[in-house]
Amino acid sequence: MPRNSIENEFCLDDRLMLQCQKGEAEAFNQIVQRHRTALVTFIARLLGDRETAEDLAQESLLRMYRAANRYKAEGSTKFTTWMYHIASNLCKNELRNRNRRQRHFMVQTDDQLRLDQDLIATAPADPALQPDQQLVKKEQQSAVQNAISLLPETYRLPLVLRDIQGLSYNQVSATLKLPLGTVKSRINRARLMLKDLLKPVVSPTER
Amino acid sequence: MSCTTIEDNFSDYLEDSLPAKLRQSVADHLRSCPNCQREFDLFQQSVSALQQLPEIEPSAFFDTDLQIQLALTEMMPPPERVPILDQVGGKFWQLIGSWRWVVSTVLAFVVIAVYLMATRIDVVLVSSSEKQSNPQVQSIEKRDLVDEDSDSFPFSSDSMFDPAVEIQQNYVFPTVTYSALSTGGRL
Repeated sequence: MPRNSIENEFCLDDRLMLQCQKGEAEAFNQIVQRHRTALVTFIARLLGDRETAEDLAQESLLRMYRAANRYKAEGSTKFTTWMYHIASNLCKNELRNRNRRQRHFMVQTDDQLRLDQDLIATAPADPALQPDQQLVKKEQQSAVQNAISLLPETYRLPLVLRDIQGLSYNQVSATLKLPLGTVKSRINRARLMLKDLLKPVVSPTER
Repeated sequence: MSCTTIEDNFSDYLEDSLPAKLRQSVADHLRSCPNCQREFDLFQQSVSALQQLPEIEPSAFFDTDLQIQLALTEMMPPPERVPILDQVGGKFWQLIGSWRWVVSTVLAFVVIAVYLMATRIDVVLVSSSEKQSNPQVQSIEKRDLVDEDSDSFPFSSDSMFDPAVEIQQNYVFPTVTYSALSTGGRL
């Protein structure tokens, strides 16, 4: 996407938030339509659970709506980082609660057992691929989703923001309130872990 | 560049964000080391697989559910969150504004300091007043003086005619003397 177009997109979010602050309900509906898929994707990839992802995406949007009056439009990438910051905090809480539940009951939770099944099932099939190729691709996606879920939270968050949501290093740094160097090193470390986890699935000879 | 440090530069090398000199040395190493080249290929494939994960569309009920929750939020706005200091101090903290945490910290230290000083003074006062108010202690001190000066009868003339006091004095005498020696006069 050209740079001017990206800046216009960010300015549009700011304009919509200003309209929302003036009480125009339709402006917030537009924000929901623009960002709901990104939010659900982000949370679902992070948690590996679609149902919880939808709940938390709705909760994120509700929090944004309630905090709309405190939002200060500063152009650039402020809106995106603000949105992902709210969603990240909710995800951190959810992951912490899951860890606590796991420690208490010493069993896998239902969320983990149904990990990625519905995420892979709903992925649109690529019409250019043969059925067996589609199957292989879905298995690979399933393996990638499982590998993400095995990463520690501190590495998973920046990795998903960078490689799935496509944020820049600076945006990830602003979203997670971490120094740029820390973000870069965590993303590299996360990618190395992912490489080791995906060794049996990803073959370098595919190039 | 060694095999152990090259992995730290994989992301920067993949995204072409290394300085020219470092990039050249990474490229040279990858050309000369098949093991590192294989690891980098795996790295590249993994990142590519991650970036190709499809977007997840929300379900058909997402918008409806959200609209209901938004309507509920409109009907029942959440209670305004009042900071704890505002709840306690009211207008005072609002006037202080952004310095509230500094002021509250200083006040907390002052309270702690006053408490510590008060307890210290209390201990000193108690130890000195006990000496003044407790006739037994006084009499013991007198006895000590008497003992030092002469081997005459140790009890004062007042207590000689009260047998109860005399018994109590005899009972307390060794305890007080012992504690006075071990604590330097403080109880």
